[in-house]
Amino acid sequence: MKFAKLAVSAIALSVLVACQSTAPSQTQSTKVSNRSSGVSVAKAPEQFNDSDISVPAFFNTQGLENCTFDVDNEHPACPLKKPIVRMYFSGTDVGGEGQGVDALRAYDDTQLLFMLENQFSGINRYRIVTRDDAVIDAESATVLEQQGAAKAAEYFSGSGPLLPDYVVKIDTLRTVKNEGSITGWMDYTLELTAATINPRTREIMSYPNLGKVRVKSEEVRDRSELKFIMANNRYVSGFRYNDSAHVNAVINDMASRGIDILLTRMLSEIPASAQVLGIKGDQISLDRGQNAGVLPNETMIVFQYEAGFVEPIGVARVQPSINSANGTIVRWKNSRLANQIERSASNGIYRPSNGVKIFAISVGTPAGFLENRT
Amino acid sequence: MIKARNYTAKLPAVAMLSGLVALAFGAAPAAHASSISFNSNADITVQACAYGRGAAAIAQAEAQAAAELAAFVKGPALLQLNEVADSLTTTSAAEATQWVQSLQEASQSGITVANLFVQSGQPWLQGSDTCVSMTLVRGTDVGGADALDGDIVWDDASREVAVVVNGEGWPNKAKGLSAQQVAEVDGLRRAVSQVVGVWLQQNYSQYSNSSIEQTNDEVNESLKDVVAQQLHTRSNGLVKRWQLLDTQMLSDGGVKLTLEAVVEKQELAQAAQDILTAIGSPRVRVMAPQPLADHLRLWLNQQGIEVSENASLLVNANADVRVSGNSARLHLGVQVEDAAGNLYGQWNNNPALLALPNKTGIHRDLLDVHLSHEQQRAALANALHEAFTQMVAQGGLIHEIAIARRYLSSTAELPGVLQTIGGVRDVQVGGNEQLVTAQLRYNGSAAELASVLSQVLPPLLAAPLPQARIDNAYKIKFL
Repeated sequence: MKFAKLAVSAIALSVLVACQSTAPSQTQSTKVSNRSSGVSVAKAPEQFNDSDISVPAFFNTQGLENCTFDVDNEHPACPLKKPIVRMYFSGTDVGGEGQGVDALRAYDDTQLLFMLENQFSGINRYRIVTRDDAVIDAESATVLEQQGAAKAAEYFSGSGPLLPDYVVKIDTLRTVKNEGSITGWMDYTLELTAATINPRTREIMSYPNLGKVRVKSEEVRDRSELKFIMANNRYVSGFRYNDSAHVNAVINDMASRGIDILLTRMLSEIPASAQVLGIKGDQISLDRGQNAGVLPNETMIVFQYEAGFVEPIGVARVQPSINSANGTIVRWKNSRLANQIERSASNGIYRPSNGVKIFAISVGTPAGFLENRT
Repeated sequence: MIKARNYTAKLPAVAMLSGLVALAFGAAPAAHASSISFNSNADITVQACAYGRGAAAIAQAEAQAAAELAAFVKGPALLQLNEVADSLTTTSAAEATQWVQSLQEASQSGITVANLFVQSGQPWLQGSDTCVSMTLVRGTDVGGADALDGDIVWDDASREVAVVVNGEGWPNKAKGLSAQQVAEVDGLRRAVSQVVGVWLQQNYSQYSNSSIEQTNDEVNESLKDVVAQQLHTRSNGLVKRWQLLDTQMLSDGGVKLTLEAVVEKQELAQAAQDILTAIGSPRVRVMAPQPLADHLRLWLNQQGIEVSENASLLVNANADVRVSGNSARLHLGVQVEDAAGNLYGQWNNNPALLALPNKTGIHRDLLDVHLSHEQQRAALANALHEAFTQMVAQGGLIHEIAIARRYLSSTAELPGVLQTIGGVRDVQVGGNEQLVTAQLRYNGSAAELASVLSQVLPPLLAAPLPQARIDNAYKIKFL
């Protein structure tokens, strides 16, 4: 009897141990990085392997059926409707005291805001209402001066400034530390986060999620440029860390780099989608172009969409025109469907039919974009 | 999926349209037809495309398709029908030929082939183009022109106008009136109102420069009501005669009468003009800081509104330049009120129209632009018009009458006597030991009222009244 009890206890214990040992492992420990943020851009289509040809996230297969093509009166369900936003730089405060902190605190981000507006307007994901009142006012004064009150009144009597749907806020966190004693150097870090806010409800939207961008001064200035010499705890020569103009120059370069990274993330987060109207040989014809934010030399994955399932067909290089785009499939996916479509297209124009639709979606910032546009 | 729509195509426009299309090839957008043919039912089908997207491109493609259809019908349709005659399945070639010939004859008559009923298919995209297919269904007939509606014309040659109206009424015990009497008054008021409506429709344009912009076919109902109401209270002589045509009993002791009333046009026109003058071009006093006052005076004069330092109707205006950052914007407000402080209307500009860099004298530049802005000018004119209409609708401006007590033998009957004056409303009598004062609304000038007063007051007088003195166009003094 006693033996029997012992046996049962041993079995129960072994079951418990077994349960513990077979717990599913779905996560892993990793270190939180404080490295500088990198830039991710699309590969050229020629560099794609067959396994690379897969459909990226955030594809939008909405068609143009709902569109009015009137930019100021577009239907909410139209994929060409872009949110109207006003942009802000926030988080200008720098806490604490120490060497170079006052100069860092004096940083003026107004010009940076205008740079942000200019860069973001170019990628055509938002319609941006500028906050550059000085330029608008100066132009208004010039129109009045040159055209007279009556014409100026007529000129300004349009629909008025756009009313934003959202506010895009860029928060900046700026820190500085200095290292060394007699010969030291300044080490600045700039962290950027972007929020899209509905100003009426105060809700911060979860999408697009651009994450956090970290830029360090060593990425925009050689360390030797930020060196300085101290004697008796007083500045003698080298980098003028107490002069806000000099500090601004460094921070501006860092912020500019940060904005470039934000741009590339935005292009990945909100990719350009278009419907393929037809395929002729390797050529594809898309139903939208610049109006949908398709950029020159866009690398796009072409895929078939049927009953909720996607099947990649190939990778193409696309060139937009105003309201359509043309591209070339550089590499066809090695699949039965792709082969079948390729064969049909080689004999004439292949047009998707019977509920089957073919779409193209960009894979991120086009190769060469940073070299040519930033 | 095919959807039917009524599409109007005019053959004579083809040449011009083709010319436009040819011109358009040099610059976007351009439209072009791809094919036109008979189908097996002998319907004529054409496909046309236009550069671009959306309604504009669709309309252009449809216009191009319609032009192609019209040109085809006029030209090679018959020839091509002969070529495809054998392939027709649902109709005989002879029947189809007869239809095409009838279309050709209509087009060659040089008039129009209007109201062609075509079926326009769902548009589709082709590269940067938007395309449509359009089908002229066999058997479609050539439509005719719509007849014009006849307009009611105010005939200046005749002195009177007869109208048939209904009037409804219920017994009014408070005033001791029977249902029949109330219905008669209601019917006659409607007769005057109806004639006023026609008169306004025919004659309003000459007043539009002094008040609001309005086309003849959009007579302002509230204005008509105000004029009719004022005419009725001021004069009972507008209806020369009337006769009862029918009587119907209503529930609760009411009665509905059908009357034929003959209205004297000239008197009505004159009286209505007087009221419109009060509404459209009254005399006003401008109270505003410079330079707004000068701007406003000039602008009011241009609108046909007389500006006088003695007017009792005030146009109060204020201009405030608000600066945000370095941007200056103008906030402009205008109120219309009388000397007694009654507010009849107000208007505020749209400050967002323009911002200028702030500097000395910027308010003048901003004023110039705001008062040159067409929509704002129209809105201001409309607000003034509504204020003047409101003032007339309330019975006119407040007038103040002051009579030295020594001239009056009795003051108890004064309110009653004043209320008997046609067009007078809201009488209030007060005063002190030396003076009897009265405030009332009157839709006319102070001089006119003074003249009427000297006619109606004698039964109450202890001594003859002196000559009336009029201050600021609204105070009448017998001192």
